Parts: sequence; structure tokens; C-alpha cells
Amino acid sequence: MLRLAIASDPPVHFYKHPDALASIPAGERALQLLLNVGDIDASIEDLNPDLQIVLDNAAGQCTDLFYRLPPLDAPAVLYDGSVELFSGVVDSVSLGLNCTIKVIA
Amino acid sequence: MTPYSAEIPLRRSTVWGAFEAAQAIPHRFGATAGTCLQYSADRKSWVWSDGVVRNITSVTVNDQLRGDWQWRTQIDSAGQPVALIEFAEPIEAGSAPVATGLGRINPVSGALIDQPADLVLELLRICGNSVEASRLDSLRADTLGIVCAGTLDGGTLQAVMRSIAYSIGSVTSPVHPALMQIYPGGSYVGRVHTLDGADPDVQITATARREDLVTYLVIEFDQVDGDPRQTVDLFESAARTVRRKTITLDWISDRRSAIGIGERLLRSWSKGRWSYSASNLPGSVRPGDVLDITSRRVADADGAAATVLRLSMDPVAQRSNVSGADAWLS
Repeated sequence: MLRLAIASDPPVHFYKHPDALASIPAGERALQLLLNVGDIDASIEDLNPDLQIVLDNAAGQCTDLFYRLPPLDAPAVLYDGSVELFSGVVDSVSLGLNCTIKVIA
Repeated sequence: MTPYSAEIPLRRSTVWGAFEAAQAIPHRFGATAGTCLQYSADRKSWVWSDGVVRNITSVTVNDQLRGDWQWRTQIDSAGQPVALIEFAEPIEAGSAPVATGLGRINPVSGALIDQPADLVLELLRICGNSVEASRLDSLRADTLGIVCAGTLDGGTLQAVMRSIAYSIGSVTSPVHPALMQIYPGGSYVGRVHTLDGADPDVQITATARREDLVTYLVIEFDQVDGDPRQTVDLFESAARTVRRKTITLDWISDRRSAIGIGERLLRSWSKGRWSYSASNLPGSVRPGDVLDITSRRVADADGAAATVLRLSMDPVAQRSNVSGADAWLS
């Protein structure tokens, strides 16, 4: 039940399986485009922990959503059901065949 | 001719005979200030600039304004003109005069060299590199109102060209058809390469990064001997977050120019950009070219026009890899 919630304006949720829909607030946009969740990279020496989430952009849906106003600095949370796995802000957005969102703590 | 990676061929004070320090004889441009070089053993004669300058308007020693001096253009002991200051009394050991004035003039027209395109042409002339003045036409047109000033006292040609470019909010490359391009926001448009996503061999990605956003810009300018004397703060009042960046404009001493450059940069930097990479493009691509991107995976329905900043090109296979082409959001 993985779900990435981005508090952009308006908010948007990306999920992998439809059973995640139950935890998405009514009326908020939800797209079944979540493909993969990367590892949380962390270092005690320098970088903030970060996480990359890969979305399906084969049909350009992420581009339609993000091109005019990339959700940089928007709060983003990765959930498994109602459990928060990682939270931070959107640090970068990459568009191509996939859309990769880097969230940094 | 001076390669871009080579040091600029400045004369050194050793051409005058035996003095304590072997320093580059600086060239002064525009309304600027800087420490003079000792010219005579009796410490009465000092050189402010190589070449012919417009004037010298004030001189300080140990931060005290001096009145006991005269300046003139003089042919030095090596046979070249310099801007020489003569004092009635020797300058005390351990001190050196700091002079303010208007720097180099065009040897033909007599005009002050303080426009960006003129400054670049004079720099290249000093380096023995010939370039058609018309190559800088777009730079000249885009920099009306920008007044440059500064001191040329060393560095490679590439480093100084980049310093000038950075100071006026532009980019430069010796292989750029226009040599220097106001960016973002200039009028120069290079060759256009259409990318519609139909060629399966061409891979395109677009990335927007938080680190590229700037909503608060601090500009340092008016340098004297490497230290900026003025700053100005500009900010985007509608921005949600404060993302601060400090830039130092080595070749600007005029507040109005600094503000104009900063406002133009902030207009783009506060909105962010999509930075494109495109691999395996057919044909040769040059810096300043434009990628006209209509692929719907990496641009919206209006498409994107991305200016090529970084690339590599296989001259045999005639394929190019663009690693940085930017389309600014509006």
C-alpha cells in the first residue's frame, strides 16, 4: 500500500496498488503511477537523508502535472498504508520515460 | 595569439628595471580604482595603468586623500604608454598610492572602453587574438546600459572572459558563434535542433532542482584590489521561501548596472528551470544552440526552447550529447 503524498498546490498522491486509495483524503488527486521506491541514502558526515521515488511517465502524465510548476520545496511523505516511512521536501524532479522525484529530509 | 587556457600576456614591472616586486602592470577599465606600482627608485613616480587612460581623479595614501600629485600619460622606459602619477614628495616605504579614475580608452576613437563588447574586444586585442567586431553584435545590442569597470592584472584568457561574462549575467565560450551571450534573457538565438521524441535513439531527460532556485540575491560589486566596496540586496517578494545567493561582479562598479543585471537574473532564477540532457543527437551542436523540444514526456503542450550550455560532440560520427540545456520557467 505504498503511497507518495506531495503537498503541492493542489496536493497529489501517487500509489502503486488501488488498496492505497482508502487512505487518501477524499477529493485529492490520486494517480496510480508509482513504480519503484529507492533506498534511503544517509550519511553521518554530510548529506541529509534522501530517497528517490520513480513514477511512470510513459504517457507524460507527470509532465502534465509538474512541468509548469515543479513541486520543488513542497513537503512529501512516503506512506505504507498509514505508516510514515520517510518525509522531507521535494529536492528535484526528473522527467523522461519515468519521472524520478528526489525527496530530501 | 593567446590560447584561452594560457595566461594573458601582461607586461611586468621588471621591464622598468630592478624593483622589489615583479608584478603584472595592470590595465584599468571604466570607473575604477586600484593600487599603483612603483615606477621610480625615489618613490615619487607610480604607475596606475598600462596603456592610455582617460583620467585619474583622486589619489589616497594610507586612506588619506592626497593633493600633491599630477598624472600624465608617459612613454615608459620600455617604450610603452602608461598612466603615471608623480608626487612632490616620496611615498613612504611600505605604502603605495591608490588611485581612482577612468581607465583605458580606445586607441583609435579615444572613447572610454567601458561597454561589455568593447571590453571583450580590447581584452582579445591585448592577447593578440583577432576577432571580427560584428561577432559581438548581439552582445552589444543586449548590453546597452551596462557599464563595465575593473582591473586586468592576471589570469588565463578563459578565466577573465568568464569573469566578464559572469559580471554581466552572460555565458561565454570560444566556440560560441557570438562568443558571449547574455543569459538568461538575451536576444541571441543559435541554430535550432528539433527534438520531438520520435527518434528512439535520442534519449531526453529534464530535471528541475531546488538548488537552482534563488529568491534573494546579494550582489557584491565595485572591487578595489579584489575587495568589493558596494553591495545591493534584491529579492522576489512573492516567493514562498527565501533561497539566498551571493554573486560578485568583478567587472561592474556602477550601482545602476549591478541592479539591472541582478533584476534580470532574479526574474529567471526565482522561477527555476528545466535542465535538459539529450544523448546521441544527430549532427553537431554548439553552445548557444537551441533545442526545440516538443516531446510530451519532457515538455508541456507549448513545448520548450532550451539553450545549450554544455555538450560533447563526436566529430567523426557527427553525434552530440547535450548535458546541459536550460529552459527557464515563466
